[in-house]
Amino acid sequence: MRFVGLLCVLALTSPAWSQAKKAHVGGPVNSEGVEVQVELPPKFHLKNRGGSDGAGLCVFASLKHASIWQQVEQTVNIFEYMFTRPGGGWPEKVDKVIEIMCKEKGVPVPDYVQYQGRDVDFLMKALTTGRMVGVTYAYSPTGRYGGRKVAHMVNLVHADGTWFAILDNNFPGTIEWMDRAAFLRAWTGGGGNGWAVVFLNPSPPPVPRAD
Amino acid sequence: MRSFFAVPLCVVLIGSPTLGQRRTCQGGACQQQTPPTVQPVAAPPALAWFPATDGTHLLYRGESLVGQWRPVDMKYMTAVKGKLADRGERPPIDPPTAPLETPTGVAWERIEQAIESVTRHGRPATKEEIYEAFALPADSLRDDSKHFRLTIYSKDAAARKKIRDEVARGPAFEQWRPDLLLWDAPPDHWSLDGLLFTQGDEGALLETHDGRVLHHQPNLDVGPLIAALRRADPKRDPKNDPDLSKADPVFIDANFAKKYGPLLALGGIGCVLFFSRRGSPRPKG
Repeated sequence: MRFVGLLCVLALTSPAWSQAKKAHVGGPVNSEGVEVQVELPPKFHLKNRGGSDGAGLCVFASLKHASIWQQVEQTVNIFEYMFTRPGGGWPEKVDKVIEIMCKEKGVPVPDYVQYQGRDVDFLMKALTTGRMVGVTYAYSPTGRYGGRKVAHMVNLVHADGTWFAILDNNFPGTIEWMDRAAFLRAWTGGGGNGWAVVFLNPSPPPVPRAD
Repeated sequence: MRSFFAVPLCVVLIGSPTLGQRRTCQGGACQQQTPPTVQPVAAPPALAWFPATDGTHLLYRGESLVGQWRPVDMKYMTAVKGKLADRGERPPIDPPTAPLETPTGVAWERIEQAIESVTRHGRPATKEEIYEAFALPADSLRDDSKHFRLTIYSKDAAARKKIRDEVARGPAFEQWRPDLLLWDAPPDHWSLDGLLFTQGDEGALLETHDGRVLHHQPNLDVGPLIAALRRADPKRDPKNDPDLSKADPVFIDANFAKKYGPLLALGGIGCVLFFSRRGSPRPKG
């Protein structure tokens, strides 16, 4: 009995059990060799900025990233379109901006989805099919933004249930990796709902397999 | 004599549209025509500072980068053709004296917090509908094996559009349309960068969702593509495969003998009788 107890203590304190996936900033391959599901080339990574009133355009930078990735021609210039318009974003505004922008260009509105909730599986399904998702982001698990709560949108580029990774439009060229719990906190701001925007266009074709 | 010419001249001049303003009178009420207005020239966008993540401030005019202010050494860098250079210039407007906030931009207070909500281009939708649109069955995370990835590459945008329209609306692709995810791009597009199959100016590649190559052709002919889809379709019944190597469809018909057998037999008997009568010696006398 004493031997079993000792084994339990050893097992629980072993690094394999006790160590959570440590959040870190890196590239498209993380510290465990996991590669992002969605790898937008760094030359397309945008640097966020403000709109005409100084409020940030992170929502529209994230939508542009996804538009490049999934060839959504109608919204590929949505970030630049907002430079001369007030910044800030929320679900109804995204609907409105996309509708007006497409009307002005005389093109059909692209097929896209907005989700408000806490279901991480919803996001995982989008990532599994190669789509790049715009997600709200309140806390950086690696200490960006001085650890403060922010009102931000970034792109989710990996979600396999264990590892999650985001591309932050304030830190182009880098990928921030985290575990599921850290991502849920970042996405929902701790307790409420998170917001996600997904275009339904397919992703680029897969790299042909060797076999 | 002078007044004889002067009076009609004055009448002509006063009535002329080039002098004074013409008046139009309709229904007894005269309205003065508005003179043409000069269109105002749009003012150039204002200069504005935005924070960069390295602690510097970027100066933009509309969409164009104008310069960068480095608070550390109080230096202004001028943007020339998108590149920053120290030209010893002063910023056109005063630089910020305090650190600017890193731009973010989500209105948390406008995000639904009480209930879960799904919309598809602004209209309410269900998760199941979205999963279907993701090309992924709702009850499984990874089973999207029924979907094919068709990649069309060509420098000719019109040729790509033709195939795109064919896949979207053409009868040839109707059977596979729900299971086909199409991607088209020029061969030098970043999404095809480094992939061996982009050799040549145009072609079509058919893959499974995880990249197993099912078919690759160096042209955009629809026929071989359809044949490849037919072969790759897991729902395919080989018995229904058409055998196109046999040119005459009459000889492919398995019911030929049943349909035409009696007719052929009658014809054969007729021929035998005809030739046997012709061949027999005629009675003399």
